[in-house]
Amino acid sequence: MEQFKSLRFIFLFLIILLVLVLVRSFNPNLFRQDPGKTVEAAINNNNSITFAQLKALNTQYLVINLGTGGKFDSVKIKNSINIPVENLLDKANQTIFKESKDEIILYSADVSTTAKVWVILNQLGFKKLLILTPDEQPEVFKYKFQPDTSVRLENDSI
Amino acid sequence: MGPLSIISEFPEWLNLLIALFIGVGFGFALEQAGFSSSRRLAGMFYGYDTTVLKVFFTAAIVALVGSQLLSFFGLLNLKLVYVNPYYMNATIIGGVIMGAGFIMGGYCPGTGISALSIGKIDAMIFLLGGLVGAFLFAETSPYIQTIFLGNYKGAMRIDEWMGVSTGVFTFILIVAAVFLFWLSELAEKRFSRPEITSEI
Amino acid sequence: MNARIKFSILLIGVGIMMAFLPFNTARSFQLKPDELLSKSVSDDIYFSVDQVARFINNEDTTFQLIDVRDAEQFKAFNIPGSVNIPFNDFSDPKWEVYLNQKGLKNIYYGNDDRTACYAWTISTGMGYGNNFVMKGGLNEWYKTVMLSQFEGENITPRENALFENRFNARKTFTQINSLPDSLKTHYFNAKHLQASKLDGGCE
Repeated sequence: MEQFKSLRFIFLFLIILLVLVLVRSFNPNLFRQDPGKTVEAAINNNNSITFAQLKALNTQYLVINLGTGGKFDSVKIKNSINIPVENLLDKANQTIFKESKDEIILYSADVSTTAKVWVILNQLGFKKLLILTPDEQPEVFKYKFQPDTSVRLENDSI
Repeated sequence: MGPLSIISEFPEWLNLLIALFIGVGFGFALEQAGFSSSRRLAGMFYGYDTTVLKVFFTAAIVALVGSQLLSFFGLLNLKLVYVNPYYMNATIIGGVIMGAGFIMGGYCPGTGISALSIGKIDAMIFLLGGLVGAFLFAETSPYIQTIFLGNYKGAMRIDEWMGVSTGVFTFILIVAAVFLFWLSELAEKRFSRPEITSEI
Repeated sequence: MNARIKFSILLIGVGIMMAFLPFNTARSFQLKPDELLSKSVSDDIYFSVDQVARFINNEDTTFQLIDVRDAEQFKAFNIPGSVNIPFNDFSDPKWEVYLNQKGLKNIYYGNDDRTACYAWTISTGMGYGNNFVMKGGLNEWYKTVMLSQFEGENITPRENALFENRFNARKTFTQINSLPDSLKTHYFNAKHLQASKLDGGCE
């Protein structure tokens, strides 16, 4: 007992530290994923789904349309709700993500918006996230570059 | 002044002022710990006084734990902390030279300055030697460059090299420290030289 | 009970806590989600292909183009002066030299906007500053800079400047990318070496 008494400040310090660490760990408004995992999930477009695949999908899903006001896209999709991208992290919208047990499918007319939102949500710990893409193959180069073999750098300064 | 996010906005003169206060504190701590005596430092090698190990290991652990906790609480951006690049040859050769100088001179550079400031003559000569060495190195560096730039490993971190998380590595180091503290107290008993330690 | 044992108990206690800290904070997102979101909805993060073309023509050294496509595609052609950081190993610490710096504007591009935006969000989230995206990626670049022609009767000075800018960038792009592969490889290797030498420096 006497020994414990002499250690009480040490234990007090450790307990305070533990409480602080726990409070921080369970703060919902913080990122806590490994970015490497996010990269892994996004490579080779594993995280995207086309319209045709969506039609064929036989599990439940929820489509989130990220369009805002003027930019709101008029594509009509079943089971879709509109969350403007600015309000993505509002409490009410957060609960939608949290409570949804189905696949969440992000859609926006602007591919860059969905890409950024996907990373943010993935980092917040939502795993069942897909990006709806109109293209069959996103991220392909649509043109053909033809090298000009007649170029002589020594004759023509750049 | 580096990565502490709350003070990153301070003007230059204030940063320098803070650096001055930290420096004064560091020097004071060194002197108070008795590091301005070469016998205390040499004691580390003969085992009769292991204060050096305790102080520096404690400092390392406090810095390690502190920076990680601050980073965990979002107060410190560890990304901005400079990691010294690792030149393997330079580290080994320099370590041997430094160790030899340490035991022969009885000071490391920091404690040398601490001892100089309380007027120890051996420390003055020690630091003069250090300056001569630095001068010789600077003059000859083009010829020995291939040696000391060899085996460059970049900004390497031991936890990444071991493949464990930073936290686990911290724990391992703490266990090692606790073990070494125990061992050093044993050594102090075993090799005790009361005629020296009473004078420091 | 001596001081060493007390101190050891304190250290072990803290150490156990450290071992269970949920992640390596230095390797995860530094920004708060709402900060990251408000940055990412802003339009200031984009550069148009015309702006990038101007940077190239002026040999502007305050920006750094980062190509996030894979090495194969990068080798076939890229915007002159780009660094290749394939998105597939984007989280590799070896790229920090390029990503974590304050001096240059990092402009990401891929074939399209999507991968560049992944890269943008991850590096911004990690706390690196000065990240931008070239809007439309290489598809837009090719359409606007490489293929656009002036059609019409009268050219205004503004249009003239625009097309001259595109034309010059097109010329640089074609010349650099028509070099033989061996020369290109030399050039890229030299660039990598330069960057690794610039590593470090106390701040």
